[in-house]
Amino acid sequence: MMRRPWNQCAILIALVVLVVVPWFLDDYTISVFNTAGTYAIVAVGLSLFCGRLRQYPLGHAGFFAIGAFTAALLATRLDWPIWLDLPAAGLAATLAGVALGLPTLRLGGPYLAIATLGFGLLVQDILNKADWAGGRTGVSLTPIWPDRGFYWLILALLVAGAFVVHNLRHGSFGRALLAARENEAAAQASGIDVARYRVAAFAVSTAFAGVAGALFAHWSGFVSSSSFGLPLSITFVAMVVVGGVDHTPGVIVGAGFLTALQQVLEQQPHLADALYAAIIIAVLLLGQTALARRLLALFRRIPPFAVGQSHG
Amino acid sequence: MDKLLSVQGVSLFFGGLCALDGVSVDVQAGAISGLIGPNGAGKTSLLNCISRLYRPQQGEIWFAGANLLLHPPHALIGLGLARTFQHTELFGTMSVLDNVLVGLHGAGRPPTMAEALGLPSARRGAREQCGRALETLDIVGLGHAAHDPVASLPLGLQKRAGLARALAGRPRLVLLDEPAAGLNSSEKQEFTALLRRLRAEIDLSIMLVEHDMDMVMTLCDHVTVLDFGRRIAEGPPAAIQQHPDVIAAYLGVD
Repeated sequence: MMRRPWNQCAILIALVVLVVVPWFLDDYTISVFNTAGTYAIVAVGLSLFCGRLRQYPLGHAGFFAIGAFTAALLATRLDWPIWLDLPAAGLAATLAGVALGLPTLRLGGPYLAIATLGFGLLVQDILNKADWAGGRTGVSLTPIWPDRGFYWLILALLVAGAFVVHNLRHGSFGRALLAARENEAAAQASGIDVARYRVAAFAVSTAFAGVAGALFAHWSGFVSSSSFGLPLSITFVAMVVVGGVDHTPGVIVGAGFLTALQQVLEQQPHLADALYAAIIIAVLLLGQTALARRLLALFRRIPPFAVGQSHG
Repeated sequence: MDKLLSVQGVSLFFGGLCALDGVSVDVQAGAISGLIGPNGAGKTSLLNCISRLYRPQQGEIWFAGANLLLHPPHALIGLGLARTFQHTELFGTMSVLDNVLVGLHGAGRPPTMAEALGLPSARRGAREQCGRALETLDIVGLGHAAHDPVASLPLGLQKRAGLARALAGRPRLVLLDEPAAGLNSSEKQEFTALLRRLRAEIDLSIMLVEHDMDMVMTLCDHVTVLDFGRRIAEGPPAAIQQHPDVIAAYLGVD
């Protein structure tokens, strides 16, 4: 695939800005960035599955919660350091993802969404009732770094995750997923173990959600089942869809945009929900393509500086 | 010559309907073998049994020493068995090249972990696969269209793209489901010449299901005739044309 040089340039500039920017921000803004970053990690992982298979699971808050609680419990009860916590959380969420994916990924259409939605609610309910996981009060951790320290860790993992997803999406892995979606029999005849690829893509998305959950637990210093409900699962899918299911940088922009929107609308949660629904419906009606890219295309139609417009 | 494919007494039922009734067919290594019969005779059903889309209730299918019924459909290309589809079943949103690259999936794909991390070995592997896919496209005469969207090609070239996808994994035997369907007569002749050339150049064995008698009679070394799920005749094309049961099956004589 040919890539336009300005694409790479824009990504490089954005990266430099993101690395430097925390020095100029107050603590509140950094915490918003951290929220956006952790959510973006989930959205990026999910976009590989959604983008290539065009299926939308609605239970990733459950995997996020599994990661968050795994990290929180390991850190508080067993004093595990963060560099062991994060992979352990990712592993726990991946195992849960494979266990859920094996029976449910045969389901097409809305049924996968329904099954995963049920899983998300189940995880929340179990954590809510489990005394060993803090029950209704949740678990508090002592953050090991200031928010700014976590900012760079989250950014580093987000960039690494986006790199991995980009490689998989545009390599033989992504091609195999696309083939499986377009024509299962022909994909099988070409040597693709369709069921295994579906589960693998789902497992990648749950691994990302688990690690992101662990990051969330560590920098926010508090996890509670009440914050990992269905609205969060819908938020993750909304971030993927708004950003453009097949476009990794777009998904990150989508995550940032929706987190910022959430902060602005924090006083009116119902309005925020209604707005989400409207955004998802609008994006789906626009043909499942990137809202961001549509806006960009619109932008491009405006002649730059209107120089040399002698005809028209 | 050795038997490459051996179908032994295969029966297939859909509920109470008997689609195949104890059918046996052999394909010799290096041969072009035809499978013909009137509509509904069970030709495509047999092809689907061999490519493991259907599971026959009785019988055995052996390919190059392997019991095919013990292998899942995605493992067949690894054994050296590929197929095309009657309606091409190409991946419509992909380019011609990407379709062929999917066909290369089982052959020398870089490990997923190396691919995820963007390691040099994965990049090299991807380049090599690209080179092999382009070679395969050149073999079927589609090298010039590699980067075109596959859906933009006329049917005749789509059939070639489907063939290239099947050939990409370097199979020993390829099953062709009605390769001539929908082609005009000059396209049919070109396709016939291409299949002959493939047998000679890349040592390919072919089994084709086909309605076009010209193609079957000029191309095949050996023909098997099915009617109502049974094998009613087999032999060289000249003998088949004279076979009374075959004439009866096609012309409806009792």
